[in-house]
Amino acid sequence: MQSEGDAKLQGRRAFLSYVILAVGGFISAAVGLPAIGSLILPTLRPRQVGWTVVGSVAGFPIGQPKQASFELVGRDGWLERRDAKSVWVVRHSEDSFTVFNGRCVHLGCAYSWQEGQQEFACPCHGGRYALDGKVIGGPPPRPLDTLRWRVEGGNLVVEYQDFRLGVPQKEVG
Amino acid sequence: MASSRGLKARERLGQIQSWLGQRSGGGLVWQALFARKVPLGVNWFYTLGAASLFLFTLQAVTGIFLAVYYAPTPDHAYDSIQYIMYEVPFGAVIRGIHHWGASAMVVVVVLHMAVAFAYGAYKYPRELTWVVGVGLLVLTLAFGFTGYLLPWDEKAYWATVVGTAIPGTLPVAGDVVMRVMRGGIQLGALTLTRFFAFHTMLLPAALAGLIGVHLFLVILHGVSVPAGLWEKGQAKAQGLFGSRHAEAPPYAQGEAYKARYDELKAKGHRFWPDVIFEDAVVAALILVAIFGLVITVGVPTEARADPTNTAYVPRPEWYFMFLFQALKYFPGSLEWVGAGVLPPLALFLLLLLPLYDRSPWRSPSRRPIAMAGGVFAVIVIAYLTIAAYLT
Repeated sequence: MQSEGDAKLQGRRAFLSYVILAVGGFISAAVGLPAIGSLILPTLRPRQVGWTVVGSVAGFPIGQPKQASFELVGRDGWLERRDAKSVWVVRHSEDSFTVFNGRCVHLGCAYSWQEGQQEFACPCHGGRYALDGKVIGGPPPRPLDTLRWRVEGGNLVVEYQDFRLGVPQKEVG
Repeated sequence: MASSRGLKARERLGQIQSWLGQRSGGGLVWQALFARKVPLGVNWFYTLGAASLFLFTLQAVTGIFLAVYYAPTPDHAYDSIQYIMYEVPFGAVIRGIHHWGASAMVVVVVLHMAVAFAYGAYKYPRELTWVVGVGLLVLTLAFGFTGYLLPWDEKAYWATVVGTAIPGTLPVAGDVVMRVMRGGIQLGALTLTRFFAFHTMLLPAALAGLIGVHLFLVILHGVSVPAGLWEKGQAKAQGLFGSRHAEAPPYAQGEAYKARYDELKAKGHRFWPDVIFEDAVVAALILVAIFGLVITVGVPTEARADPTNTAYVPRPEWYFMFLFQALKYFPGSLEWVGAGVLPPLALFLLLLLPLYDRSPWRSPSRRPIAMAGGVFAVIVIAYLTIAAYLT
């Protein structure tokens, strides 16, 4: 048997429990949302893309892949970041090039041209690519990433971009 | 004269002790944590839990001293580590202990778990203790992963490039997961501060909290009795699947369990000083082994991180080698299965072990299927690790 007083008391306790839960939820959200937002939102900003001179056209022999390294100036948090990037340039004729992003599309290691085997090889997980960028062995899920290029005043200019690694489609990462 | 003065001093000391005890509640804590008994059969394998706690403390203490000199930013991290190694008195020793202590912690935590598995200690009433323990294992590995980047050397940089690219291959959420881990698209300043904050603040707080829960449960239920002793005199199971049909020991659960446990506990040793003595000996031996490694091997030196180094072949720390090797068996398009599905699935199976392994038996000989599964997992991990080092 419950007296009216008991019922009232229980109602009051239930009410207070709800209020405590609501206040707790409010405090968690008021502190948690900005905290988690600061942790995640800055990471979703898109990357800026720009055209970069990678070298004089005359420096790339026809038919012979050549690596070109250059500095990409950007921001890394509060630091000015000078990223050393590299591309592999295959010159087909006077004015025809293929430019590959220098990262292996598997997990981003730097690969290199193997003169003896006439193939690009990645030292990390054994990815291998033909001269045209097609996969001929190992784990890479897609061909090497080609980059847009143009010739300007005798220089080869490249729109350097990194793409998502380890996926079959070439997506801007 | 002298003896009466000594007596007086002792009396005074007793008064101080009693005053402190009353005001602080220290007596209650002492009774609950130290003046308890452990059941019959507790042996040296039981020191592995305390050894894990010792190593966590060792890592926390050496980590604090490293943080005094370390600068978590790409333009200073490597130099600050060099400064610790070559200019700070005892800096190389402290970093050496932290470096080898990390490996030792993984070894000891895994051994601790292996013993709990072999003894069937995850069964009634310690299911939650096991679940929390798996959480502690995950946090220990997360410490290893986040700590690895901090020296900002070649190995650190490239292993983290690959380590964060792996979740990036997951369908749908992969890209976001990778960005959140790196603090952006590329590995850089924001990755380093992020990993530093997690390694030195979030993970220690989480680990300390979970250790608290784990220890509370250990004290609440008491440590398990070794499986063989617990089931002594019970009929042996017949055949491979015998344990499923054999009658469970009458004290597998409930009141009967408690009565048998209390009986064995009454015959057991005291936690203080008997068990603590063994814990202390093991902790000292581990520390001697770590010092031995610091002196003979030291901390491997690596060049400063160079994001364009085409010749560098990144390899993870030895305890992630089996995952590194396993990835080689998956074609690129299925990489996310090997990296993002199988390891979490295995961890999930480990986590829920007490929920699906409901056999009331604990002795390894009465749990042939569970033991075969455990041994199989050890063989696979050992094989992959050895294969990774041979290739």
